[in-house]
Amino acid sequence: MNKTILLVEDNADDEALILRVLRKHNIANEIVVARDGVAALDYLLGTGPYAGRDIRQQPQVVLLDLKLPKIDGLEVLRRLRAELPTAQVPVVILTSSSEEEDRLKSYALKANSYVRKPVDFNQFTEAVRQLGIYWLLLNEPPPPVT
Amino acid sequence: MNATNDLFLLLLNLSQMRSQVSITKLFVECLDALFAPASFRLVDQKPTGDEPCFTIGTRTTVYSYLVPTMVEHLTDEHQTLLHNAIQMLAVILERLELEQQLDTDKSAVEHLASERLEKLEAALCELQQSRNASINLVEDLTLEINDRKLAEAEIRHLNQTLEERVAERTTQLATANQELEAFSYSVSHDLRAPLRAMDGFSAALLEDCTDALDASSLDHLRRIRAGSQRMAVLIDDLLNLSRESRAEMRREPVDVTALVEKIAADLQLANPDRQIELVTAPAMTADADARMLRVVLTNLLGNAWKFSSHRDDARIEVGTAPPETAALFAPAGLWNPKSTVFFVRDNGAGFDMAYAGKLFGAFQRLHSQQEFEGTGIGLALVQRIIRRHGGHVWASGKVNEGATFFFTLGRSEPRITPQT
Repeated sequence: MNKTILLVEDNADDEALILRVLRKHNIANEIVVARDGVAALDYLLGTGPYAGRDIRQQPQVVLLDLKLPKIDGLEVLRRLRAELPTAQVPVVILTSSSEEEDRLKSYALKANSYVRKPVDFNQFTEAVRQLGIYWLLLNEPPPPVT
Repeated sequence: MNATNDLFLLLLNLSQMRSQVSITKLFVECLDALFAPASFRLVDQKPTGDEPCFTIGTRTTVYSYLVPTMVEHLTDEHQTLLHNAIQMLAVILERLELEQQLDTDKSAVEHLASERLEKLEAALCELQQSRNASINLVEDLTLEINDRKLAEAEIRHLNQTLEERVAERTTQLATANQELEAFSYSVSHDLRAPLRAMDGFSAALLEDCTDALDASSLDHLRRIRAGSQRMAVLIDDLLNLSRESRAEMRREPVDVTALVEKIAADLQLANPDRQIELVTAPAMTADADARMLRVVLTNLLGNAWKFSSHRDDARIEVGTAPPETAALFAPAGLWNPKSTVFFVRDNGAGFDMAYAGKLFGAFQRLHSQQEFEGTGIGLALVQRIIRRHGGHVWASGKVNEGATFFFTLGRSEPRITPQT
């Protein structure tokens, strides 16, 4: 298990802000950014531009937005849960949506956490900081796929 | 022997005659002629004394009496003949009488028969008339039945059209709802992201360049942040409003008193410094969607809490209004004496009744942001929920003297159990 974070985020502003907060809080892990659902699945399943990647190595956590180009977040979640190498990878839904249905569907597809992005940057910073601490330091990852 | 023949012929003739008077008269004349010098006289009354007299009559009826004169000289044969002739006359008269009686009877019967016939004809005529009337009635009924059939067909057609229209509208409504949902989703997602960028990058600037920026630039950045954060709250409120309009509604008995006390406790917890006298009527219940009623009461109590914050002796009262009081304040047509009227009253900032119409509009505010914070969505939300319950909400107030919000919950009548 590497210490990579996969950030699936199509909004460049959000991406920049998240990266800024992580860096500000001295989280030095490698951060891979996928800007749509297809790119996320390519990385996780070692296809497309990521063909040949050792998919036994899965990110420490996937920060997954729901509204994404090409394949949306829920579909990404459904597909990666269906594949053995990614069935147990920790996925945190990080979204703007406050729709109850999105939350219910996310948990039904075995998301590990659901966090709504606050607009207030102070709260946003705090949320990302806590996510970093929890998933990178506190949380014991699932066993690697053999 | 001549007399015998003559008498026989006479009696034969008399038997053909129809008048009793003529018969007797002719008989007497013939007797006078046949037995002269003897003569005969007819009398109605039997003569008194020893005067000889023949009775013209049968065993049952006496017709007349015949008084003879000088009959002593008649032969025995003539005497017998005379007696027989008188008896024959009586028979003839009796027969005549019987015949006449028969005629009378016959004509009576005929009269009766003709009367009956007339009656029968009248009855027949009547029958004919009623038959005609029946036929007319049947025709009328047939016409009416046809009319009804036409009307029914029309109604069926209308119903069908109506059903089609309802189905059409339902589809349109479902489409509109879907569009609204898509819109809300898009709003919640897409409108928030740019705000986060505005707030986030302003914050980044503030963090990174505090030393490089002067006081007014720092203030500008803070204002950008405050603006984006306020807009985020507005968006959330708008989404709430749209969600409340779409959410499924389920009525159940709600303990209003307990709900009010819980909300007040939460408010007190959030504002521990406030000293407020809360008066809640005991044992208020309502038939409503519990979650929605909580939103209503949270907003009304929250408003009362907020707008009484300038007072040291803030007082909030929640109860049910006696009908006569409620009727006084209810705008025309809004108050139904059958439904319980709940009220939330405060002695806070109040409002000018001239602006009462603006109270329930989305994003309508009667106070500046500096005076009292808020987005102006709370009462719009309250009104939507109350309307979905089929109830009404209205308010009365006076500047600096407080406000009272009344509401009803429609359909089912909330019960007020007396305190034990």
